[in-house]
Amino acid sequence: MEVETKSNYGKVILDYGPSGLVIASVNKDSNSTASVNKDSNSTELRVLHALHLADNPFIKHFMISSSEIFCKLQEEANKLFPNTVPQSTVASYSRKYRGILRELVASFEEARDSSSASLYYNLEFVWHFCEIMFISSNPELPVLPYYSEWIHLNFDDSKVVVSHLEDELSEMDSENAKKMWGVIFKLVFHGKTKEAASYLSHMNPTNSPVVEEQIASMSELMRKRPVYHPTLHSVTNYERAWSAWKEEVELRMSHRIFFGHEELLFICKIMLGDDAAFENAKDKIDSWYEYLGMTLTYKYPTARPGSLKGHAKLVIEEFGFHDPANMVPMERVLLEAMDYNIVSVLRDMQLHWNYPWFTLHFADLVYCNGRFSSLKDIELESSSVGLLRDEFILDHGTTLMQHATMWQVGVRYLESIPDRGGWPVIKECIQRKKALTDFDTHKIISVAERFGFSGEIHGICRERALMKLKQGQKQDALLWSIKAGDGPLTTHILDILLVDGTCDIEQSLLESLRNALPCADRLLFLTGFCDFRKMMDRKDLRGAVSQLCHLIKENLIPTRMADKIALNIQHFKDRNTTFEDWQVSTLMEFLHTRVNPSEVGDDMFQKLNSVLLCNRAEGIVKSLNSAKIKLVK
Amino acid sequence: MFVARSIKTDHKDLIHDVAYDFYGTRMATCSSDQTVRIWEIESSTGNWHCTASWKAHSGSVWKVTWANPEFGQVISTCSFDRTAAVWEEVVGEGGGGDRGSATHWVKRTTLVDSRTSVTDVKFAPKYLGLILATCSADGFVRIYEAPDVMNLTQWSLQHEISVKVSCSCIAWNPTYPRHYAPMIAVGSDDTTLDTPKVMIYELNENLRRWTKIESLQDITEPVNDLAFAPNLGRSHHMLGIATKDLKIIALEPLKEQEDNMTGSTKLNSRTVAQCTDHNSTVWRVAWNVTGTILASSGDDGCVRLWKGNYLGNWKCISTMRGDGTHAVIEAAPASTGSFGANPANPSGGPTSSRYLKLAAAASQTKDVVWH
Repeated sequence: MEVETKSNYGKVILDYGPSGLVIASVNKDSNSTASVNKDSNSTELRVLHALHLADNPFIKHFMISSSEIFCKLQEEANKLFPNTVPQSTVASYSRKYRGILRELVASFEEARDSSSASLYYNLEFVWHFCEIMFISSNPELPVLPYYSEWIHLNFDDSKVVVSHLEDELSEMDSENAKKMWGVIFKLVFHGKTKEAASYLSHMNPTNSPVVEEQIASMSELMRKRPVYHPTLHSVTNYERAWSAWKEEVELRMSHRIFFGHEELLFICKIMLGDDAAFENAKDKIDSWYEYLGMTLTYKYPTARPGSLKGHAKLVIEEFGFHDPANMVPMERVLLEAMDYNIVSVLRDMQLHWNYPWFTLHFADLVYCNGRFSSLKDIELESSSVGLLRDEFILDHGTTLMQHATMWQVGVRYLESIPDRGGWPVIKECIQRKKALTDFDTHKIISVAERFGFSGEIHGICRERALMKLKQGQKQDALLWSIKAGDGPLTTHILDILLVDGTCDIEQSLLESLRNALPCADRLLFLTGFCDFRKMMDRKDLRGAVSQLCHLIKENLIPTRMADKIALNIQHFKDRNTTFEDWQVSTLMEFLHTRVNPSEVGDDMFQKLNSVLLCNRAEGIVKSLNSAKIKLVK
Repeated sequence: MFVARSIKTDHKDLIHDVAYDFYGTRMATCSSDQTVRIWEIESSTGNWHCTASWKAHSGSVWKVTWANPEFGQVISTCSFDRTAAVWEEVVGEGGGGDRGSATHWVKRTTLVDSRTSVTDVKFAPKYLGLILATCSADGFVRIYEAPDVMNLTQWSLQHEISVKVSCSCIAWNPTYPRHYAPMIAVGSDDTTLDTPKVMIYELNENLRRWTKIESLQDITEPVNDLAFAPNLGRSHHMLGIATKDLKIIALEPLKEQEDNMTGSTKLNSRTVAQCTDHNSTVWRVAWNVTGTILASSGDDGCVRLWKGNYLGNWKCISTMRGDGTHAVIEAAPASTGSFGANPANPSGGPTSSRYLKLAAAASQTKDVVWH
């Protein structure tokens, strides 16, 4: 025996739509029996609308900007294919991405959203380092210039501190002097000795001549410190210059030039790479990567990118991080980048920021450059940058496609996947876009046309036609059904129009009907009737009658239209115009066989009949008269 | 992340099904109170309103499904009263309780072939035309067609498939037809032990009938729901099955292995995920429109979202209670993530410093969805 009451109690019913989930759940009542109280609604319906990052206006603007950079890079890559994009070009695109990341940070800071500002700041921080390892630096050349720039950009607060002390530079109290020395030390740690030297002149409050001389000597040393630049120096020449400079620092140290000045002695020892001074410096440094920068600057200035990991490990131990598991996720990413383990970098970035923006764009840069794109994951042979790049694009593009206003940005990403891998998503998603206006529909169709989605275009146009019909906009519905190329629907809409009886269709629509494929009989009638109306407007009665007779002979006039069409006969009354016998006969037959007198009214029927009779009579008279004239002649 | 809105449905009894239309801007609900309700979202406010409500059957209405909008505003329902019905929204004076509204719903046909409760009804993918499949407790799947899409009063029974066990649910494979023949999955709630409860049928073009091409041997518990994932570029089909737990099955058509006599496809089925997180019977499954996320609901009152990576590993990415609130978020939300940190100025000076200190985050070792 069937049981109607399903065991539905406690069930959660759901459906997943384009914009999110809908859930229907039953409120559990522990005191109830299995049967439900039918008098009350015991089921709740909850609609869950999926949020998207792009709902935030700052992030939306950021995503649009990044998509523009992405598209330009794809254009460049396609032009150069099968060659890869040069390193310098890829580096410039990477800097553009960083630029918009920094703009985003600034926007969030201005909006006082410190959490979001912090997130994107940190992302830019990691991105910059990954750019150094995978894009900018040359494995055969020193990494220090890039590394120093990275550290200095992110940890330099000298300008801020100095701006607050500007008015007191000439007469600093001890507390401000301490702050100023802190600035100078930081600049020295970061290798910015020239900038540090420029502040030294303010550090003689007592105007002591001895101190003046010491400061002058130190400033000179700081300014003379050689700074490596990959395009300006060869490594050999730089090493030679650096050794010479170091010797000079040692010499001045041994001559006790800075004796008695604690701060200058400290700086001198730092520049000599003195371990005790480095140990003291830890109190003044926030992170191991800053410390690593200092180590490289004064101990290993020509270290190559590949040796970074080894130096970093030693530094990390010195800082007390013995267990890598205790490091913050971002620091692990930095170490993986030092290992050139691009796949692990991408994996961890996605682990800790569950959105593919970073991984997609960075993987794409590496892919376009080609240098690391063939590297595979150590554990998973099948992972490669190219494959991951496509996967991230698919993920990001699919998410964007489901956003109300960002879907066109999604299209740009998806069409960059090789072998049309993104096309199925584009096809599925664009037909799910509910266009509220004709303009929106045309936008969707133009995208569909670009990809040749003819089936989807048919569906979109057909659905639009049905919607217009429902709204009573019959002529618009007709236009859309013609665009859909849907014969049965076009016939259906034309029938509806014709039932209205007036055939009151805009001339421009009738013209477009004429140009459209003749996909319905009704179309033939309407185009013929359009010509008839034009001739009537021009008072070309002969032509109009000829056209009308043609429509009658071809049996194109729908039955429902016969009465209304027949009414036009009353306008054929013209003494100066007589029609052919066969035309009058045709019209007469039409009037008496197809027209219902009760529909047009008896009086009107008689009137129409008499117009034809009169025209026939006049015709006979004219022909008799012309025969008479001939006889006379 | 989701934003939840509650809707007071005014159904007088349990809701058995809820279905979004193609665009997600309308919904239909059906209930044991024998009525169907149509809901529409107001785009400016995001609020849902009931635009129609009518008594659809003389028994509990089990399921409701929408046709593709290119056939118009058409739904179908199935019921304990042994019938399925097709309804169309038309313009004109409202009938029933909707007098004065611009549109109302009219019954176009009643399908009365079943001898028992009709347990599920689904429209076919649009490329097949206006076709409807029903399944019943009498063990039959029936496929109907409206040959003239402008006239929905005429439906003909095209095929009657004897499944031989009580059927509880049915799903069409939405895959584009270029590569595959039309395919249906049928689930059974039969309680016989150790017999397969999911059967896959394919329309054999040569024989012009539906033939069973696979019985999933791994699925031997009663099946409550199943759904094919939209296939946007995969070489195989994915089927989500709600049974005593959640299973995701990959069905790979074997190349050049067609049975030479009948032309049927051979399928290689493989369970890619068996998810027991609900710790109870799973009742419903539904895929998102791109076939990348599967939602499941269970007797634990929770809804879970599952996502697979390109290697075919599936992870739960979100758990929600039946009221839509999050129970657990398995993966860091995109808006924050473990990289979010409290800003601090290490020098203790003004907070207008350009850099923000990286605070230690309490990270948990987890696998990413994609790796």
